[in-house]
Amino acid sequence: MFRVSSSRVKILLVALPAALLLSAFILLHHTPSGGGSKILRIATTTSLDATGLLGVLKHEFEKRNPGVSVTWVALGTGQALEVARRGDADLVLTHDRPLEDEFIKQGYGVHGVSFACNEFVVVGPPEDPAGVSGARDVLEVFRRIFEAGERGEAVFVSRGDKSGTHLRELRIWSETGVDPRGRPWYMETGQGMAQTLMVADQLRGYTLVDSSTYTKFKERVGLRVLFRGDARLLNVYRAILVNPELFPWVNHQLAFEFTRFLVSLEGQRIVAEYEIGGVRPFQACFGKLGELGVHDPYEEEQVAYWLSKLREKT
Amino acid sequence: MDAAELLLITGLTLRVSLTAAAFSSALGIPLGILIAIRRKYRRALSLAVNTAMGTPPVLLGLLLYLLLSRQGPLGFLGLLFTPEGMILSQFLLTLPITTGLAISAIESLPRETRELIESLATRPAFKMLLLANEAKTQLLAASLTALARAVSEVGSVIIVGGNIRFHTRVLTTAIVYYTNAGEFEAALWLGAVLALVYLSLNVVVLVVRAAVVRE
Repeated sequence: MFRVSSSRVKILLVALPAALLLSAFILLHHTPSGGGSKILRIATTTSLDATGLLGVLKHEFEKRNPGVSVTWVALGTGQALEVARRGDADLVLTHDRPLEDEFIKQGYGVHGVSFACNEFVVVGPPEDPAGVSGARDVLEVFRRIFEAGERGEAVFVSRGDKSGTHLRELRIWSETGVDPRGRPWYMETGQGMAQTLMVADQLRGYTLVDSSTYTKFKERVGLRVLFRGDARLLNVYRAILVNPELFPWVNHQLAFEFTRFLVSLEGQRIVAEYEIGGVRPFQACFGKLGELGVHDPYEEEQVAYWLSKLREKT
Repeated sequence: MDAAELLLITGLTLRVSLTAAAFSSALGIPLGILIAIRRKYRRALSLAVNTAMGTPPVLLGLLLYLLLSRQGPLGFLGLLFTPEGMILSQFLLTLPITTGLAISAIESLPRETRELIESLATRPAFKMLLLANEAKTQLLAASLTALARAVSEVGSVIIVGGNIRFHTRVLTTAIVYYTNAGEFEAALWLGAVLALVYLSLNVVVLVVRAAVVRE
């Protein structure tokens, strides 16, 4: 079996690792390394990605700006802001005002502006064991679920992932004054909205969901909308540019262009007319937060800023 | 997802895994042989390598995320959320595998063979070459194991790559994405492609192995 080595073996054994290394380097450099300034990196909340709206906006924006590439990582709102805090994104699209306000106040984000909204709804099994459908407001809904849970008659499934939806849910719980955390009927999935919806469906439980994700999945789950329409359930999506003074490497120019596109007439039209299964999951709401009952001086200031930028363009 | 995107995802998967496995084989196999023929600290070194083999991919992903983030120590490289960053992650993940398997490949050679080689050659580099020649089928298997690991791993690439559509989405992270989105059918198709990719890699190896044995 063992042969005293011939020179052939020697050559082969030197050549093999060399060839491996060479091919590895060739593969490594084969990358079409997109010239940095043409790529926009967004850290977005999952619902804008999962509903497909962001895909449409990307398509339209790239059509108007040839050579530009819009890319995103889809995460929960908390995580998306965290990615941006490290300077790893150019723009964030999120939906939790208190967290966003903090992000802006700390100087990480500039020119935040709301561009789309819809609502959160409480979904649950059609037989509604906690009897939430007749409730006055969402606080009463959550209290009834709590009581039914304690009686062992209902289950609540929470995102548990610091996403915008999860944070909203926690705020509603804290307003009701009851604390469900650690109760046996309170399940935290730690996963995205779609998966949480599936889990809630399997467990015949209640959950809080944004109407756009629910619209997309309603054919596939046995859950029904049992409560909607409280002002506490308004869901506003906001675009915030990552501060270029803090992170000089961010693509501020492209983030600016994309946001201006979002709030432009065309962008707002795309948001409002986007359809899934015959339903329009989003409302355009640039400059309309006042009408929806949100009074925020910062927002008004930024609406004026973006309006002036839109005028400059035309 | 259309056919073009599936092709793109598959191509990226192959590029990332092949590059990572090629690097980790080129470095790990010589390293493994070196460790196997050491007299001092051989056991301690192979213990360390074997421990590293069990590194949870998500932990590696998290560490790389913190390192490669723009505010991390290696942020200036701009590797986070890029295919190159994913290659780095898969390389680091598979390096202990090629090294560890190379160590055991050499250690499992017949005692006489090893002794003969040790007595014959004087230069260590030459000794290593002869040992590698004897263990070539196991070393090939080591490379394949590394490649299989790189192709099928998800925990680390999803953190380091970010699962960006058309940019850093590979087969495994695409399966995660479509499962999360509730599009199980697309996820299953991707799983089938993944199995197919893995099958063809195995066929290639089988052919190469047969050729080597015949020689």
